[in-house]
Amino acid sequence: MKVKLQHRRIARIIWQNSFSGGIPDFSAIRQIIKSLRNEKRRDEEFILESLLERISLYLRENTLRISSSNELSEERQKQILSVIGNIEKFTGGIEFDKNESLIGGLRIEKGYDIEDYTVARQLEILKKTLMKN
Amino acid sequence: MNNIFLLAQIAPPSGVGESFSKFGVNIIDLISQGICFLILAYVLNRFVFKVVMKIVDQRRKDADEASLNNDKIRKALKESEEARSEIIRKAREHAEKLIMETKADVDLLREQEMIKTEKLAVQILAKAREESLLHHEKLKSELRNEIAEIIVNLTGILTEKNLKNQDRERLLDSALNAVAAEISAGKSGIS
Repeated sequence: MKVKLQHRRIARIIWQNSFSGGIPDFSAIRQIIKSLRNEKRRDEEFILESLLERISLYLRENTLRISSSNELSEERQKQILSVIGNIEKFTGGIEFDKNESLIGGLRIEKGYDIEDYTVARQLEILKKTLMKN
Repeated sequence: MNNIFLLAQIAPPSGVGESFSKFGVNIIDLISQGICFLILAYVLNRFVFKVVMKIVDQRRKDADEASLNNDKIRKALKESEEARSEIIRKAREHAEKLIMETKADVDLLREQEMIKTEKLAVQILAKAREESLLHHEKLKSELRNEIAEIIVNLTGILTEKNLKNQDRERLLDSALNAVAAEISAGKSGIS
């Protein structure tokens, strides 16, 4: 058995009902999942799988991920957020990530939108240019 | 027959008879001997000579026929020999003609095969040249990629080693400025 249209539909209904004020209420989602488990449905696993896909997609699209090669100080973090502005809309949360392979600079990612001003990216561009010529 | 009796009745002349007697010849015996000879000659002529001659004639006729047949056979043999020679000659001519035609066909085929082979060789050569060029290009591209990768890796390592905290901060400032410019221009999808 695999995820069917019916499971996706149920997951969609659960997902839509979990929203309050345009933001998903994760405590409500937890409650729904509990009641679903209590029902002991045979297709519970597939509904949850479908729901998990939706949550992952939502988090990916609404989480702001800021990566840099060194640990950012609180001051620096605030500065970055102030530059970005309007941080309330990142309902998935804001993550600061340390990635040494970036060498230097900053990488800001939200869903499929990426602003990459790192040395690693510049090197990648250099590599592509060298390969072309 | 009458002549024999007449001869027997004729009395020998006295002068002749006397001379015969003087020589010891008995005229009567002589006549009877003659008559016997004649009878014998007649019998031989009648029963032996004619039969023998008939057989001889028959034999001669047979021999003539055999000779004639022999001639006929010889002639037929000669004719068949000539026909055989003619057939052999024709067969030889036909065989020679066939051989010539086959040789001509073989030559033509060989020529065609040569042309085909030459074309094929040219094609193979062109393909090999093309493949060699492609391979060369591929090698060049691979080499270029490897060199680019080495350069970039080296640059990355060197940059990472030589970057000080100040440089890192400066890079962060620069990146932030770029982000701010993007956002203010409305090009960024983040804000």
